[in-house]
Amino acid sequence: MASRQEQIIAVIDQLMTNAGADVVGAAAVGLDGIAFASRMSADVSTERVAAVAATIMGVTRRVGGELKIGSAEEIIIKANKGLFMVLPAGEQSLLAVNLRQDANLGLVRLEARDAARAIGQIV
Amino acid sequence: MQILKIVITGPYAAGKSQFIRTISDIEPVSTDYAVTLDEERALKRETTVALDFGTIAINDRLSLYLFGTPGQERFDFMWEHLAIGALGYVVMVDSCRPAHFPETQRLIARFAEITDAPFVVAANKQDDQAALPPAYIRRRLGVPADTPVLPCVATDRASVKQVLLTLLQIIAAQVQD
Ligand SMILES: Nc1nc2c(ncn2[C@@H]2O[C@H](COP(=O)(O)OP(=O)(O)OP(=O)(O)O)[C@@H](O)[C@H]2O)c(=O)[nH]1
Ligand SMILES: [Mg+2]
Repeated sequence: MASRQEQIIAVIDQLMTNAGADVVGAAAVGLDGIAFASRMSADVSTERVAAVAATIMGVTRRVGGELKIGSAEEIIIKANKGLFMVLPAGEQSLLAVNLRQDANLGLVRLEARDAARAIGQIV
Repeated sequence: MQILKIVITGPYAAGKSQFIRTISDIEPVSTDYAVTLDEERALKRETTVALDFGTIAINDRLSLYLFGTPGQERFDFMWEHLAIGALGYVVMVDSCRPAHFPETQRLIARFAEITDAPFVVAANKQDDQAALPPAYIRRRLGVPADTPVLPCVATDRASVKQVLLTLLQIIAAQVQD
């Protein structure tokens, strides 16, 4: 039986395979901002990305509460050289995904949602 | 490698970001943006709106992940969020600004509601001539007797380290109980 971390890495690897080159990196992160499984590219710091991803989720939940629009299901940041997605993975964790600028968002969103659900079940 | 999450909190301009900047092994994450409120601008130009983040290896088995909070009460939802999973926290207070003590007391009370983790108080800016002594600050804030109030200079690495090591001892003692 693979460890929890190995199972999550397998989910992330599956996401990266299914989404092809669109996904540059991904990490499963606790709501406390600490990554527990990651396939981030070498030029980004997993620790730092995990800390900011959890913060984005914290702020976004607050937005949902203030505006009474419910709980956050997906956050997409479109920057001029790439995209960053954060989505809840179960109650205790989230999935952070780093995307190429011209990624096929429709496909990646579906794949990321599946991966987040799988991670939520493992955690 | 064991990772311990520690939160660095305290009211506006207490020196939280400086504390993490001084000790972090990695280039810290910083989210400081320009201050627009006049009363806040009187103290400084930029303020933390989301978090500070830095890491410090204590030895080859233990690393601390430091999460700094924003100071103003309007950001208290970030206090709750950043406290998730924290094993201890540091409450920083500007020893030169007794006007900020009531706000600091409210913050201490709020954190006690948010988390059961232990904390220490860092009486910061002790290098400033106007700094009030830690014993006086303890009394003014009404800090419980078993919670240390430590002198601190957030720009000085040895001082920051001493604060963190004291907190670690308290965390370790709790784990043993
Ligand atoms: N003299 C002295 N100044 C300090 C010390 N620590 C911080 N400062 C100064 O105090 C001011 C506030 O420091 P910050 O680290 O930005 O404070 P902060 O608590 O992060 O502030 P907010 O995020 O805005 O709440 C800055 O001008 C620092 O240079 C210290 O130990 N001694
Ligand atoms: Mg700050």
